[in-house]
Amino acid sequence: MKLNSLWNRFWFAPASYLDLAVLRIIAVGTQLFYMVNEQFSDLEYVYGLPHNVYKPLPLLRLFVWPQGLADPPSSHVVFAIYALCLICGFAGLLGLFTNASLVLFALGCLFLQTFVFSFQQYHHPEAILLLALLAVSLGPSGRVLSLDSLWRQRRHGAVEWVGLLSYGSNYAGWPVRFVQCLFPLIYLSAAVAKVAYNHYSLDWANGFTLQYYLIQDHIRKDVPLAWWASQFHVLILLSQYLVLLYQCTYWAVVPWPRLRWIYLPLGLAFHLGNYLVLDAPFPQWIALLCVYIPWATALARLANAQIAVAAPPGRTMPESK
Amino acid sequence: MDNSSAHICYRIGVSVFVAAVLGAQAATLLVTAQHGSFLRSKMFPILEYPMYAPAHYEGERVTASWLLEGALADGKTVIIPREQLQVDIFDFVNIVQSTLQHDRAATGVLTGLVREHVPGAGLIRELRIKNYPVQLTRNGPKPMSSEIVMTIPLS
Repeated sequence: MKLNSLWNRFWFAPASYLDLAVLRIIAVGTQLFYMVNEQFSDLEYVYGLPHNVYKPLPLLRLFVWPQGLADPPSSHVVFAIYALCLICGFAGLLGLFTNASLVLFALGCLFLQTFVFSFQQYHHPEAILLLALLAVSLGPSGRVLSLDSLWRQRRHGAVEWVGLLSYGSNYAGWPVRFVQCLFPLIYLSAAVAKVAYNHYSLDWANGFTLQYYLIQDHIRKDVPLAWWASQFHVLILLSQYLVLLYQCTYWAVVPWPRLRWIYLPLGLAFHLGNYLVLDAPFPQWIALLCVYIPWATALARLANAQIAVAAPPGRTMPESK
Repeated sequence: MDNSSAHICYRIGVSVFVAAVLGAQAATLLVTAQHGSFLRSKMFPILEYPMYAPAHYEGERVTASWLLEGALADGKTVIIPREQLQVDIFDFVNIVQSTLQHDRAATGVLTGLVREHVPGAGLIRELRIKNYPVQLTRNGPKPMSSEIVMTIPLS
């Protein structure tokens, strides 16, 4: 019973609809940008690969079992799903038939990414955003900042008026919490790998490791900044310790949310640094880090903040009554 | 909190989703801790995150990529740039590294790409894989010699 109430208090505590709507807009917007910017060419590329590279992942097998597994689904079907996804994504972004369009969008994106990764390559930035989209699609994400909310208001009229920043429910918080809990697990996975892959030692943080990856990524992706940065052994050594500390202790943000004001800037700097120096872009992660910002609370504080007004030189301000 | 049956069902559904995904993601930590690499992308979107995890040491060769050359019947050699094979760098490295581990399927893919995309591939008798000529030092990269690590006959 106690566990049950603790669980409900953690996942179903009253929360703002605004925070969830902001997460919806950022997550869907980022995924749409990725689809237009990268995924279309990824799909074209994998259809150009030899067919024996195609090994459908278990999740893709589930998606395509009615049509058989031997060959990839036809490009007409895949690009039709891509187009449908774009339409559902834009509907979800605007909050039109929000939950239905977001469920279709999340499942479609999951299908497309699993299909691309069935050609024996995979990358790390995409998964967390897909999981976030699934969560957002199952929550009350279109209650505010959406066409649905305007439509409901017009059709049924307002029962009562409430402030946008204080409007919420017990179900508005769990998708946000879910993403907040996912990040620490992912960072912890990265930290555990750095220790376990090197005979359970701290050898990883020896300075040379990151120098190696800087040179490697310059050779692979032609990043001049990486080549230049690979000369600074001591600085690189210190940054490696910082990365390990960050990844090992990031979980502390969940029980002690105030720590986000340390970890968020660190995380942003870490991912932007990776982007610039290693050409390892994780835009999905950068965008999703916004999940730690309590938008409604922050905006309410800003709106109610009082500032001291100084008197112009040579004059005294009249006393307020 | 509303305790109507619809709300209870919703809370149960959400709880199952949250517990399943976070539980599965947490379980990958155990796999990672045992340095099990079998998971890779099999459970996508649940992944391990061993990004840049293996340690490297001073004096090591940087095996960022591989060089390919074709040996002709008359003893001459031709360089085969990766771009000519029309695969991206990550796929290229994967295919070559799997070939070096004597993976027959990967060897087939590599020779197939050479035959398909390299002009005059019919004249190539041997495909040679050479390692990358860069060494890691405290002061950054340093050039070193490149050696043939594998020879694949092309009949």
